[in-house]
Amino acid sequence: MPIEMITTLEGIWFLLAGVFLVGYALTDGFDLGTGMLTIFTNKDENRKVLYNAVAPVWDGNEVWLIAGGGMLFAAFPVVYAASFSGFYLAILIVLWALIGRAVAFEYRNKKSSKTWRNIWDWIYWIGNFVPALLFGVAVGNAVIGVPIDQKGVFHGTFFTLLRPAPLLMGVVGVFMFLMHGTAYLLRKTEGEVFEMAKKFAYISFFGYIGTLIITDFILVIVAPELYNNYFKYPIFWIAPIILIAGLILYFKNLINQNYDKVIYGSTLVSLGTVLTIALASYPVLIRSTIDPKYNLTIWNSASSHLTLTVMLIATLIFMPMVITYTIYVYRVFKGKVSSEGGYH
Amino acid sequence: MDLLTLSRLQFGMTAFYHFLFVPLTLGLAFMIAILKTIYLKNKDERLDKLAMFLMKLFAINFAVGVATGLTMEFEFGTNWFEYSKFVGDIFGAPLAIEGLMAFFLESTFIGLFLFGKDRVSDKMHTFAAWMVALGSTLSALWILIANSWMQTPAGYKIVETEQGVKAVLTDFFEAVINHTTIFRFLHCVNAGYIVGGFFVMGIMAYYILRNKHTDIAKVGLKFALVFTALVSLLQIIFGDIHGYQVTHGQPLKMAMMEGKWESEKGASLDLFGVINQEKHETKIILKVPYLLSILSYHDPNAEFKGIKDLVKEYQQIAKEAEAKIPVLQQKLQQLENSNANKEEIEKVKSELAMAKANAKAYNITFEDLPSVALVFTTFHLMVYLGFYFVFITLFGLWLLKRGKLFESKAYLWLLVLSIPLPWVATEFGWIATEVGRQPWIVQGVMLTKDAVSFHVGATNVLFSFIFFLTIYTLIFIVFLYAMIKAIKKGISPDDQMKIGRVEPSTPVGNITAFSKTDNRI
Repeated sequence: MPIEMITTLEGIWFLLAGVFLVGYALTDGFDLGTGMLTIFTNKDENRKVLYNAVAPVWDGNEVWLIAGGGMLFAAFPVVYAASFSGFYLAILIVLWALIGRAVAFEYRNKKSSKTWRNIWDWIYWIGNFVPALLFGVAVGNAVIGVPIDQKGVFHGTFFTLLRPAPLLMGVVGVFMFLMHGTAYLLRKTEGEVFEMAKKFAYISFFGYIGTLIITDFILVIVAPELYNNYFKYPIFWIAPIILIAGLILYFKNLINQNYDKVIYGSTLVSLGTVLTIALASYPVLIRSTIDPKYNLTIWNSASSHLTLTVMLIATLIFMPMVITYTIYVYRVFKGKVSSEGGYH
Repeated sequence: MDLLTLSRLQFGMTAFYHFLFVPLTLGLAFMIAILKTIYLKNKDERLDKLAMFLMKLFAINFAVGVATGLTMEFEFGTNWFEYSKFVGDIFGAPLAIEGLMAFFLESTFIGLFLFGKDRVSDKMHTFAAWMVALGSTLSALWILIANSWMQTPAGYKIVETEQGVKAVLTDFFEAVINHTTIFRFLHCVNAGYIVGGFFVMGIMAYYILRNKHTDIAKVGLKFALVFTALVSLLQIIFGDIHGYQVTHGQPLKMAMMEGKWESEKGASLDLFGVINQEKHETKIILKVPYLLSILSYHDPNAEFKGIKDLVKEYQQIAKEAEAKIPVLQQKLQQLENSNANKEEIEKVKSELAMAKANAKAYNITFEDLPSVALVFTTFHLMVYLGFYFVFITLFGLWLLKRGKLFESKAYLWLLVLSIPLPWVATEFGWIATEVGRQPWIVQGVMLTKDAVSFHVGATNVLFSFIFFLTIYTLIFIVFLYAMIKAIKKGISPDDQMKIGRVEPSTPVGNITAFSKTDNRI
């Protein structure tokens, strides 16, 4: 293990950035994963179950993204500025999708008209599918590399971002969120939605493995440097091992009909996926395809030690509180949901 | 239109829009929490029903507020690349802490608050209401800390790095509690309470006029009236202190708000005027002598600095900073040659960077000023509206005391029609303070025109602006529709939202609901 990862503020913040990404994948993963199923059932009751499964918690889940964005801004401002302005349209598309999702939650049930609800359901679906896809694409671009110069200015277009390799990583992300979302539904629902979740659990499981293997081969060709860390620091292997353990657990519980426990598998898979790609890239946050010396690393893009310290203290105080009350609220709403109630 | 104008237009529009929903969130959350607390004490069912009803309206407002808030956080990075790089070390921290400390709190407990009433005790539900109120208020606090730092920066130094110049934090608390933070925060949050207060008063008055839920509406109106009268009075005090701070921290902004081109001893407060930006003059229609000097210096004979003198002063500062640059460069050279200690070199380097920033940022001309008429007008209208709020609520209290509040139809109608006014006041206040601080994005350190994402094409921004405008308009129409529909429907037992439960023993495929009423509309 590179010792500076825990002995320097920059290294610690690299790990904390990972914590936020994992936090987002694990919590909003429920929303993204369940939301992506909306259009695969035509019955209003079934769709309502999908909404109800996450209605009391989706707001809090989304904050992982907002807090994570704030953290990126505070800890690695140059990375925040370079990626958000560089990926301008992609970022705004994610934003518009998320706005649509939030509004759909709120207004879908305001009228009983079928067309009205259908429109919102599609907006809701886009609001979950597009971010699920583009998060992976964004991470893929950051680690594979984009044309940025020494000042962090991006010299590409929207289509630079949609090269096959990052796009494929986006698809891996979609399957990852779908695995997590279906696992959540296996715990939270019964009846038709449950049966649907079961079907999609298998689809996402095999989809994830398939795209992951293809991505792996493509990355060997287009970004072989991503494998260096795993030769340099053998302890990093823990991340892919978590990932594989998660896959085994997921599948085992699925075929043994231990449906309540499938979620442990998807939790490990999400954790393992985020860690595997983050550790592969360490200490680079955004790779430059113009010149490796323009790479934005934790060393050249981090904030001052004072800011990092202040932020670390704030995180150490508030993060445990956040996790505590989040768990409490999830527990209040534990148990299977029906199509009754929800936003109205 | 050029990139800068489009970027400003987009940011201004999205901020304006976001700020339609934020004040109501602030106000309603606080009022609901108070109602729930009184209910816990006296078990008056009417208060609980009212709180549940307001909660339903709150939910309609909340989601849009959250969604449009996300825009703001993204836009610093997407449209203000140079700014984000420059201030990230300082500006990012309050945004991040806002997320951690406030937004998680608000957004996690909102779920419990909206859907959890049948699952937790009354006490816990009230606690959730307070956590939502606390979360939204703390959220405002950290956002205004960040905003205040841009207006009156403190606790920082400037350094040059390989990726460009940037501001670096030197004293966290000085940066956080800078010259204007506290009263900017109180003034702004309190404005939210006024918005909430008038919103509730107007709806209650409407119900009384329509003979609907009169029992609850009367209690509600009484409560909202007392609440709003209090916060409206407080706002005069907060506004006055905040204005005093602005005079001393941002004199140019205050001069524009007051429409003063010339410096004036024993300055008058000009109530109405017409601004002529080209000729640099204001035609005053009505004025109160000495009042401005009293308000801004607590001395009737004090000199109030006008725009013309201030611009000259800033040009002078720029010249002085410019003159310092070669001196500091020489000093730096000497220190580097003489192998002086690192700290000293760093200090001179940072002084040099500061001089460069000041020389650029203070070098302003009259062309750089924003529309003085806009700042003057919005500021004045905000103040007049503030006094209107005090007047109308005090008048209501007087009616209440004489036992005529619920009979006076004209007054009740006035309350209904006054619902939008606090929004007008908050948005005008926002325009006055944000346009009024131009030409700077960070006062004295960075000009707005140097802060934009230069490499994002104007076409991209034009496209995103139009797209924002379109979806925001659509959302607003749906928002109004849902809000009006909910208000017209009125208070009902199924205001309480819940999540249907499947009973544990139910066999698969046979779903029965727990809730009594069918909530499908």
